[in-house]
Amino acid sequence: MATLDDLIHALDDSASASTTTSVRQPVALRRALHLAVEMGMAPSANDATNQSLRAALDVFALTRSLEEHYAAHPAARPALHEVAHALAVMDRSPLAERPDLLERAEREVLAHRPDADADDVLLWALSLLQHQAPAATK
Amino acid sequence: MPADHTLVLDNEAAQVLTRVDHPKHRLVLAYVEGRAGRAGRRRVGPSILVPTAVRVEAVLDRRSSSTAALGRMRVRDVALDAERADRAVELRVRAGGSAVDACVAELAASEPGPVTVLTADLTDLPALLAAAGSDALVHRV
Repeated sequence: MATLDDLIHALDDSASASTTTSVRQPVALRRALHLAVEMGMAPSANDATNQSLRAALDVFALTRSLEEHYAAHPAARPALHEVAHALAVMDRSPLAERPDLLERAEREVLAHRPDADADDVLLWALSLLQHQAPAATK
Repeated sequence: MPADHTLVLDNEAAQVLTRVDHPKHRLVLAYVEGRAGRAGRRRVGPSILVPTAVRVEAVLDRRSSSTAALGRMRVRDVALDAERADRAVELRVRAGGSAVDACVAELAASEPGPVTVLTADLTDLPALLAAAGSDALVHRV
Protein backbone atom coordinates (compact mmCIF):
# COMPACT_ATOMS: atom_id res chain seq x y z
CA MET A 1 0.00 0.00 0.00
CA ALA A 2 1.54 3.30 -1.08
CA THR A 3 1.95 5.91 1.66
CA LEU A 4 2.40 9.64 1.63
CA ASP A 5 5.92 9.22 2.98
CA ASP A 6 6.79 6.91 0.06
CA LEU A 7 5.53 9.58 -2.33
CA ILE A 8 7.46 12.36 -0.60
CA HIS A 9 10.61 10.26 -0.59
CA ALA A 10 10.29 9.53 -4.30
CA LEU A 11 9.70 13.19 -5.13
CA ASP A 12 12.71 14.25 -3.07
CA ASP A 13 15.06 11.62 -4.51
CA SER A 14 17.18 13.96 -6.61
CA ALA A 15 19.86 11.32 -7.22
CA SER A 16 17.66 8.92 -9.15
CA ALA A 17 18.59 8.03 -12.72
CA SER A 18 16.26 8.71 -15.61
CA THR A 19 14.55 5.99 -17.58
CA THR A 20 12.86 5.76 -20.94
CA THR A 21 9.22 4.89 -20.58
CA SER A 22 6.39 4.13 -22.91
CA VAL A 23 3.20 6.09 -22.30
CA ARG A 24 0.02 5.77 -24.35
CA GLN A 25 -0.73 9.33 -25.35
CA PRO A 26 -3.56 10.65 -27.52
CA VAL A 27 -2.08 11.71 -30.87
CA ALA A 28 -3.73 15.13 -30.67
CA LEU A 29 -2.32 15.69 -27.17
CA ARG A 30 1.15 14.81 -28.37
CA ARG A 31 0.77 17.21 -31.30
CA ALA A 32 -0.42 19.93 -28.89
CA LEU A 33 2.58 19.28 -26.66
CA HIS A 34 5.03 19.74 -29.52
CA LEU A 35 3.24 22.88 -30.67
CA ALA A 36 3.36 24.29 -27.11
CA VAL A 37 7.09 23.54 -26.94
CA GLU A 38 7.60 25.39 -30.22
CA MET A 39 5.71 28.30 -28.67
CA GLY A 40 8.07 28.40 -25.68
CA MET A 41 6.35 26.27 -23.04
CA ALA A 42 9.59 24.44 -22.25
CA PRO A 43 12.92 23.62 -23.94
CA SER A 44 11.66 20.20 -25.05
CA ALA A 45 8.61 17.96 -24.96
CA ASN A 46 10.43 15.84 -22.43
CA ASP A 47 11.04 18.85 -20.15
CA ALA A 48 7.46 20.03 -20.54
CA THR A 49 6.09 16.61 -19.63
CA ASN A 50 8.38 16.17 -16.63
CA GLN A 51 7.80 19.71 -15.32
CA SER A 52 4.04 19.36 -15.59
CA LEU A 53 4.06 15.93 -13.98
CA ARG A 54 6.29 17.08 -11.11
CA ALA A 55 4.12 20.13 -10.48
CA ALA A 56 0.99 17.99 -10.39
CA LEU A 57 2.61 15.45 -8.06
CA ASP A 58 3.97 18.18 -5.75
CA VAL A 59 0.54 19.76 -5.45
CA PHE A 60 -1.10 16.37 -4.90
CA ALA A 61 1.45 15.52 -2.17
CA LEU A 62 1.04 18.92 -0.53
CA THR A 63 -2.75 18.76 -0.58
CA ARG A 64 -2.72 15.24 0.83
CA SER A 65 -0.17 16.30 3.48
CA LEU A 66 -2.35 19.19 4.58
CA GLU A 67 -5.41 16.95 4.85
CA GLU A 68 -3.51 14.35 6.88
CA HIS A 69 -2.09 17.10 9.08
CA TYR A 70 -5.52 18.60 9.73
CA ALA A 71 -6.95 15.16 10.47
CA ALA A 72 -4.27 14.65 13.13
CA HIS A 73 -4.40 18.25 14.39
CA PRO A 74 -7.85 19.75 13.73
CA ALA A 75 -6.99 23.01 15.50
CA ALA A 76 -4.21 23.62 12.97
CA ARG A 77 -6.65 23.97 10.05
CA PRO A 78 -6.93 27.63 9.08
CA ALA A 79 -10.42 29.00 8.50
CA LEU A 80 -11.30 29.89 4.94
CA HIS A 81 -11.05 33.60 5.70
CA GLU A 82 -7.54 33.06 7.09
CA VAL A 83 -6.41 31.40 3.86
CA ALA A 84 -8.13 34.18 1.94
CA HIS A 85 -6.22 36.70 4.06
CA ALA A 86 -2.94 34.97 3.21
CA LEU A 87 -3.83 35.20 -0.48
CA ALA A 88 -4.74 38.87 -0.06
CA VAL A 89 -1.35 39.55 1.50
CA MET A 90 0.46 37.74 -1.31
CA ASP A 91 -1.68 39.53 -3.92
CA ARG A 92 -1.02 42.88 -2.20
CA SER A 93 -4.76 43.34 -2.15
CA PRO A 94 -6.33 46.07 0.01
CA LEU A 95 -8.28 43.21 1.57
CA ALA A 96 -5.14 42.33 3.50
CA GLU A 97 -6.11 45.26 5.74
CA ARG A 98 -9.76 44.19 5.95
CA PRO A 99 -10.00 40.90 7.84
CA ASP A 100 -13.53 41.94 8.85
CA LEU A 101 -14.67 41.83 5.22
CA LEU A 102 -12.97 38.49 4.68
CA GLU A 103 -14.75 36.99 7.68
CA ARG A 104 -18.08 38.35 6.46
CA ALA A 105 -17.39 37.08 2.95
CA GLU A 106 -16.64 33.62 4.31
CA ARG A 107 -19.98 33.51 6.11
CA GLU A 108 -21.91 34.72 3.09
CA VAL A 109 -20.14 32.61 0.50
CA LEU A 110 -20.49 29.41 2.51
CA ALA A 111 -24.21 30.05 2.87
CA HIS A 112 -24.51 29.88 -0.91
CA ARG A 113 -21.71 27.51 -1.74
CA PRO A 114 -20.55 25.12 0.97
CA ASP A 115 -17.58 23.91 -1.10
CA ALA A 116 -16.21 27.42 -1.69
CA ASP A 117 -12.46 27.94 -1.58
CA ALA A 118 -10.33 30.86 -0.41
CA ASP A 119 -10.33 32.51 -3.83
CA ASP A 120 -14.14 32.49 -3.81
CA VAL A 121 -14.04 34.26 -0.44
CA LEU A 122 -11.49 36.73 -1.76
CA LEU A 123 -13.62 37.58 -4.78
CA TRP A 124 -16.74 38.01 -2.63
CA ALA A 125 -14.86 40.23 -0.20
CA LEU A 126 -13.54 42.31 -3.09
CA SER A 127 -17.10 42.86 -4.22
CA LEU A 128 -18.08 43.91 -0.69
CA LEU A 129 -15.17 46.32 -0.66
CA GLN A 130 -16.12 47.79 -4.06
CA HIS A 131 -19.71 48.31 -2.94
CA GLN A 132 -18.59 49.96 0.28
CA ALA A 133 -16.27 52.39 -1.46
CA PRO A 134 -18.89 54.66 -3.14
CA ALA A 135 -20.88 54.91 0.09
CA ALA A 136 -17.77 55.93 1.97
CA THR A 137 -17.11 58.81 -0.42
CA LYS A 138 -20.64 60.28 -0.21
CA MET B 1 6.16 27.37 -17.33
CA PRO B 2 4.74 30.76 -16.38
CA ALA B 3 6.27 32.39 -13.32
CA ASP B 4 3.90 31.94 -10.42
CA HIS B 5 3.97 33.33 -6.93
CA THR B 6 6.84 32.18 -4.73
CA LEU B 7 6.81 31.96 -0.97
CA VAL B 8 10.19 32.26 0.74
CA LEU B 9 10.46 31.20 4.36
CA ASP B 10 12.73 32.93 6.83
CA ASN B 11 13.93 31.33 10.07
CA GLU B 12 10.84 31.59 12.19
CA ALA B 13 8.40 30.79 9.42
CA ALA B 14 10.31 27.60 8.64
CA GLN B 15 10.47 26.68 12.32
CA VAL B 16 6.80 27.44 12.85
CA LEU B 17 5.86 25.07 10.04
CA THR B 18 7.56 22.18 11.82
CA ARG B 19 6.02 22.89 15.25
CA VAL B 20 2.34 22.17 15.51
CA ASP B 21 2.25 23.61 19.03
CA HIS B 22 3.57 27.00 17.91
CA PRO B 23 0.98 29.79 18.20
CA LYS B 24 1.67 30.89 14.62
CA HIS B 25 1.56 27.40 13.09
CA ARG B 26 -1.95 27.84 11.77
CA LEU B 27 -1.10 31.25 10.34
CA VAL B 28 1.83 29.91 8.30
CA LEU B 29 -0.29 26.96 7.17
CA ALA B 30 -2.79 29.46 5.76
CA TYR B 31 -0.06 30.68 3.40
CA VAL B 32 0.93 27.16 2.46
CA GLU B 33 -2.69 26.21 1.83
CA GLY B 34 -3.20 29.33 -0.22
CA ARG B 35 -0.23 28.42 -2.39
CA ALA B 36 -1.44 24.83 -2.73
CA GLY B 37 -4.86 25.95 -3.96
CA ARG B 38 -3.51 28.41 -6.49
CA ALA B 39 -0.79 26.06 -7.72
CA GLY B 40 -3.31 23.29 -8.26
CA ARG B 41 -5.59 25.56 -10.22
CA ARG B 42 -2.76 26.92 -12.35
CA ARG B 43 -1.05 23.56 -12.88
CA VAL B 44 2.26 24.78 -11.47
CA GLY B 45 4.36 23.65 -8.52
CA PRO B 46 3.69 25.13 -5.06
CA SER B 47 7.01 27.06 -5.12
CA ILE B 48 7.64 27.32 -1.38
CA LEU B 49 11.35 27.84 -0.87
CA VAL B 50 13.82 27.97 1.99
CA PRO B 51 17.49 28.94 1.63
CA THR B 52 19.70 26.25 3.11
CA ALA B 53 21.37 28.96 5.22
CA VAL B 54 18.01 29.56 6.89
CA ARG B 55 17.76 25.88 7.79
CA VAL B 56 21.18 26.11 9.43
CA GLU B 57 20.14 29.18 11.40
CA ALA B 58 16.81 27.63 12.37
CA VAL B 59 18.48 24.29 13.22
CA LEU B 60 16.24 22.32 10.87
CA ASP B 61 17.84 19.05 9.83
CA ARG B 62 15.83 17.33 7.11
CA ARG B 63 17.15 13.96 8.28
CA SER B 64 15.27 14.44 11.55
CA SER B 65 11.69 13.18 11.81
CA SER B 66 10.79 16.38 13.66
CA THR B 67 11.25 18.36 10.45
CA ALA B 68 9.27 16.02 8.18
CA ALA B 69 6.72 18.79 7.71
CA LEU B 70 9.16 20.63 5.44
CA GLY B 71 9.15 17.74 2.98
CA ARG B 72 5.46 17.06 3.34
CA MET B 73 4.61 20.71 2.75
CA ARG B 74 6.88 20.59 -0.32
CA VAL B 75 9.23 23.26 1.01
CA ARG B 76 12.18 23.13 -1.38
CA ASP B 77 15.76 23.84 -0.34
CA VAL B 78 17.72 26.38 -2.34
CA ALA B 79 21.41 25.77 -1.81
CA LEU B 80 23.95 28.53 -1.40
CA ASP B 81 26.26 28.00 -4.38
CA ALA B 82 29.19 30.25 -5.27
CA GLU B 83 27.15 32.62 -7.43
CA ARG B 84 24.45 33.06 -4.84
CA ALA B 85 27.08 33.56 -2.14
CA ASP B 86 28.74 36.33 -4.16
CA ARG B 87 25.44 38.09 -4.68
CA ALA B 88 24.55 37.75 -0.98
CA VAL B 89 27.94 39.20 0.00
CA GLU B 90 27.34 42.11 -2.35
CA LEU B 91 23.98 42.78 -0.69
CA ARG B 92 25.52 42.70 2.79
CA VAL B 93 28.20 45.15 1.74
CA ARG B 94 25.59 47.52 0.39
CA ALA B 95 22.85 47.17 3.01
CA GLY B 96 24.24 45.40 6.05
CA GLY B 97 22.25 42.74 7.87
CA SER B 98 23.02 39.17 8.77
CA ALA B 99 24.37 36.50 6.44
CA VAL B 100 21.08 34.63 6.62
CA ASP B 101 19.01 37.71 5.81
CA ALA B 102 21.27 38.38 2.84
CA CYS B 103 20.66 34.83 1.60
CA VAL B 104 16.90 35.31 1.96
CA ALA B 105 17.04 38.61 0.06
CA GLU B 106 19.25 37.12 -2.65
CA LEU B 107 16.82 34.24 -3.18
CA ALA B 108 13.77 36.50 -3.18
CA ALA B 109 15.44 38.78 -5.72
CA SER B 110 16.41 35.92 -8.01
CA GLU B 111 12.94 34.42 -8.40
CA PRO B 112 11.25 35.39 -11.66
CA GLY B 113 7.69 36.09 -10.50
CA PRO B 114 6.08 37.80 -7.52
CA VAL B 115 7.59 36.83 -4.18
CA THR B 116 6.41 37.01 -0.59
CA VAL B 117 8.91 36.54 2.23
CA LEU B 118 7.47 35.33 5.51
CA THR B 119 9.65 36.53 8.36
CA ALA B 120 9.51 37.46 12.01
CA ASP B 121 12.18 40.14 11.70
CA LEU B 122 11.65 43.22 9.57
CA THR B 123 14.87 44.91 10.67
CA ASP B 124 17.22 44.31 7.75
CA LEU B 125 15.32 42.48 5.02
CA PRO B 126 13.61 45.50 3.43
CA ALA B 127 16.95 47.29 3.00
CA LEU B 128 18.58 44.15 1.60
CA LEU B 129 15.76 43.64 -0.87
CA ALA B 130 15.94 47.26 -1.91
CA ALA B 131 19.68 46.87 -2.47
CA ALA B 132 18.89 43.88 -4.68
CA GLY B 133 16.36 45.90 -6.65
CA SER B 134 13.66 43.45 -5.61
CA ASP B 135 10.04 44.39 -5.03
CA ALA B 136 9.39 41.22 -3.03
CA LEU B 137 6.82 41.67 -0.31
CA VAL B 138 8.08 41.13 3.23
CA HIS B 139 5.32 39.99 5.52
CA ARG B 140 5.71 39.64 9.24
CA VAL B 141 4.35 36.47 10.82
